Amino acid sequence: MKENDAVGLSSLIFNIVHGSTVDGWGVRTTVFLKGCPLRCLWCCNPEGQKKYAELKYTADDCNGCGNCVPACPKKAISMTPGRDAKALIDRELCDNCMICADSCYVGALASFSKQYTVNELFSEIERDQGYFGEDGGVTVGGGEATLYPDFTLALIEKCRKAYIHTALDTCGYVTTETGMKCLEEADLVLYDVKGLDPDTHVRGTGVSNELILKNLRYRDSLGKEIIIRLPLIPGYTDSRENIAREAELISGLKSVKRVDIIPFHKYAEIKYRQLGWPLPYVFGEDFPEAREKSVLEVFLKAGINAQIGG
Amino acid sequence: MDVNKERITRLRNRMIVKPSVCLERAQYLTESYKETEGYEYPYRQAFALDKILANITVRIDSDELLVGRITKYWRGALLLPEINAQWLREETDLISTRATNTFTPMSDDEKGRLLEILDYWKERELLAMWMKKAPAEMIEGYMYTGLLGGPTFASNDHYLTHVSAKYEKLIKVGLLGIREEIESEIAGLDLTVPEDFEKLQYLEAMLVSNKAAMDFSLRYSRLAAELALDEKDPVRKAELLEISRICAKVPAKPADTYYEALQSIVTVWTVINIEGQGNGLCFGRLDRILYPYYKKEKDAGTLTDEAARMLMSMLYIKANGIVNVDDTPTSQVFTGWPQTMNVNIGGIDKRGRDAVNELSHICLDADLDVGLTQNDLVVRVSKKTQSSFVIHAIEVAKALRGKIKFMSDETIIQQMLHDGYSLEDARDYVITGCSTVTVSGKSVDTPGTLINLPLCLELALNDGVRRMDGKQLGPKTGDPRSFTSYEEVWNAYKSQAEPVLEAAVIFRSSDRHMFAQYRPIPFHSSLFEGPIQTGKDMWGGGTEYSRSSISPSGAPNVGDSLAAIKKVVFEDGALTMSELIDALNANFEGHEKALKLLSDAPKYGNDIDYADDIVNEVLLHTVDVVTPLRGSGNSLMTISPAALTGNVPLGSITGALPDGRKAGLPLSEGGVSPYQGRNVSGPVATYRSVAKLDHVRFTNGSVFNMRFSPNALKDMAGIKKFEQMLRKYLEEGGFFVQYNIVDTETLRAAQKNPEQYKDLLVRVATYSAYFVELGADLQEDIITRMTQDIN
Repeated sequence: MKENDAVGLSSLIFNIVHGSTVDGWGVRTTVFLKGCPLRCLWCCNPEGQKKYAELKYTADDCNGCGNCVPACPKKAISMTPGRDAKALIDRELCDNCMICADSCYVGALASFSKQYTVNELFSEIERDQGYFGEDGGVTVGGGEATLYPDFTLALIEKCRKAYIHTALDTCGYVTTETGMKCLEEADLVLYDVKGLDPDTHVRGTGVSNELILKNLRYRDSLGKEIIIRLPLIPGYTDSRENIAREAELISGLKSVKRVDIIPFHKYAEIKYRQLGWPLPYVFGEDFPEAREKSVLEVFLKAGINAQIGG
Repeated sequence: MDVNKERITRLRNRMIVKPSVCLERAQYLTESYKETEGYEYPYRQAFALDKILANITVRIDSDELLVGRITKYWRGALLLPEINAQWLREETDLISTRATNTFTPMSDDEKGRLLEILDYWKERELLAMWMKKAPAEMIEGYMYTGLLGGPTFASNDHYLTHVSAKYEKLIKVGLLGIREEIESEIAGLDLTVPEDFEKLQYLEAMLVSNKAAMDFSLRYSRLAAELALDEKDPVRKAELLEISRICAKVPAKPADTYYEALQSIVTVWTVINIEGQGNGLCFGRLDRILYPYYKKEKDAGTLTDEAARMLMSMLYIKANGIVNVDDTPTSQVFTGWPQTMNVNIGGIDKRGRDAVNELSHICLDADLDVGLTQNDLVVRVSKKTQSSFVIHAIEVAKALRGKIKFMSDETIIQQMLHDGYSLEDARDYVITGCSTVTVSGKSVDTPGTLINLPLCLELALNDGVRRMDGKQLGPKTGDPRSFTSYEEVWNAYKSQAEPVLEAAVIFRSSDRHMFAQYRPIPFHSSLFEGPIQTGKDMWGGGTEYSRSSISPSGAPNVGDSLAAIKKVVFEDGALTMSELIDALNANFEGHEKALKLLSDAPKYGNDIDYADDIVNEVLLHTVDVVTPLRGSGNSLMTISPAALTGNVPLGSITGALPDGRKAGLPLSEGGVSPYQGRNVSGPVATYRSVAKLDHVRFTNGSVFNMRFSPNALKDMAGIKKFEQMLRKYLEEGGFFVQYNIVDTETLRAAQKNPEQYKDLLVRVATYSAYFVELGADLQEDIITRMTQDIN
């Protein structure tokens, strides 16, 4: 990828956090790219799944003015009857054109994302450089950053040239050559492992874990740093057997510097509502704290550097 | 000495009490003033101090090792009728029934005595004298219009303060040493020289007050001895005898031990308060000035760290014994009595070396046992400061839910050099009050009134008329609907702000002059370099360095508003000036589209140069107007962007603003803090926006408050990242930061007012969302978890 070509590349970004302390080493600027090949039932950033712009509707903010109804070219919006009328969106009809967002003056209707070129995104990152210290830098995540392989690779290379430490936060389901290059080039990879049983993996994420584990071994073979992220999802990844197997797998890897155990949490509920999606049934359950600790113990006993949380 | 933490707990718990107004000082002062008719003011003030100190209640309570009372109450307020207390005629009962800064009710007897005192001072108080002197149009135009607020003369119920006496010299030479200096100055006078003759009057007054302070300490010495006679507990008896011995020795003579040095400081600080009480009577760099005493005793084995810490805690508790009694409008600017009795620690020394020592750490730990509101800890951070100290300070800040002020040595030393301080003095700066920069015993730097900049913008967008009541408050700067360029808006704003800034300077200078002239403070002045040599009061040009300042408030609102006008009206053409004015007139009701466009414009606090640069220009404009002016007492005029809690009352009389803030809502808090809830891009972006301002030219300091979740500080890795960001902010141009470590109370407030708390970020590994968006159930969940995290 030539420097100039990067100018034209762009991607949908659904969030940028300047000064993150939970996405890898040190103080980081984390960018979230929109779009993901997985469909995890417990997904905590559902607005990051689809590769296109999506309408965010926060019903609590709707003042019932009705401006959006005539604005929608697809006639996808109606108002609920009664005094406390709220906009009602027919997601079947909605094509996420965002015209309604311009007519909503209270911010109840908005887009979940914004388009950035590589250069625009880089300039957002570069200005934070002084705060990165010795070990911080940029974390490119999502969604799944390697779903935009050219964009992500260009961003990583641009950061590298500016002496910014790069981390790639990935689900590991990388199918393209350039995507693999991203996996190779990043100084640090935050690598999700969502269970080792193939069938359960398919049920939970929609894809097989074969490629994911293959790519993990490949990255490991490069001798470049990895932080493994293990979501603890009741009924999917939290069985004793799975945990034991994961510990065994990680013990056999040479580049894993830390394991972050991420217990299931429900904070994404609001986003499902804003997307107009039903809540996945896993959202009914809370992960017991005692179990978190016993899982952590398994890894610590195996001599693996592990912690709860990012 | 019985060293244990329970006695600190008992002492600090006694401070958690509704304060009472003590009339003793006012009564003896009034009696003295009646006896000294015809004397010059330095004498009258000194004789009054003598009478007060000789007669007010002295009290030593159980567990106390450092003694000295400002009022007869454990936590009390002094009445200063010689300055401004006539408002109490109307508010005698209100001060005990109002919602904030509430006092215990006065008895009928007290009310009677109060009236007698007020009658005497009715035409004699400083405010009444000033009102006769100040041009009527100035009072009418600014005092009650909301353009100026907070500590203008009208509501300045106390003396000029925000200074730090030379305690280092006090403990070295004692009040007797200072007395010798005064006497030798007198001996050298040639009374045939008119200036020397005038000087004599002031120096004689210093001698009277100097003796009065020493006699006051002897009263404590006698009291302790008497109490020892009846004390059954042998440990306490020994303590009381030790108190008696120490109070007979210091502050008159030099201190030899750490304990003596602390008592000497407490006694003199007490007298300074009684002579001329006010906010921000700073203790100075205690870790540095007490270190030789601490070290000597540590090496000799006569002092343990635990004892040193306990005594320091006792000083902190003492600092909570005094509160201001203000009229109700002023009390709303000082909600919760921020007396800001600062102890400064850390930083570099006069020779540029890292000044942190063991005592710096003890000063931090001592507040863990106290954690009250009126003693403040100022932590100076330089590039040379070790992480071990900064991290310790962060841990204490976390435990105390914020509280600590973190200061940038790099920025402040530049500021001081910019204002002409010597390098040594610049390096030796201390912070008094909220954020005032000064040098102990060498410089006097007093802040002034708050200036309502957003109201100035409102006037610019309404031809000088205030929206809420249609009053013409400012010059006619033209029909805003006819403005065709951003420059016209900016020029109209400047034309509205300039007379207000100048009025603020006149208010500050004219009252400061009157303090020096009619309410001199010879005792406090004797603890500064200069007043003895010049025979001038510390507020009358007696010191080498002197600054006065005024405080622009709400600059972030003005900057955000101007940025919105520039972008939406003049660049995007999405709104006309007429539409904007209509929207403001209607407080955005029925103008939701305009509100949305304006709200979506770039906002200060997100590292967007577009908005940040305009906020900077708004503040630099105040610098350009104010700094060429000269203040009273030959002081430099400077600015200090701050709002205290005045952002609430000033906001209540300010209409809708083009930044999307609706009429009556609070203005931006702090002085340079991004408007509540608008900094939504993460802590680094917020730090960068604030550090981008030209702090070197805001030489009287500024206030930046930032919210942080305790979750970010849950382990050492988190604390180190926090430290890294804090230090980078301080090194790249930041001046000050104080944290509000978010607690459940904050989250409850966020549930009630989500608009003001949009910046509260919830982060769990890859997940991110804003607290206010989560919905009630999840918010509850987070509040529950947070309670668990803290407890």
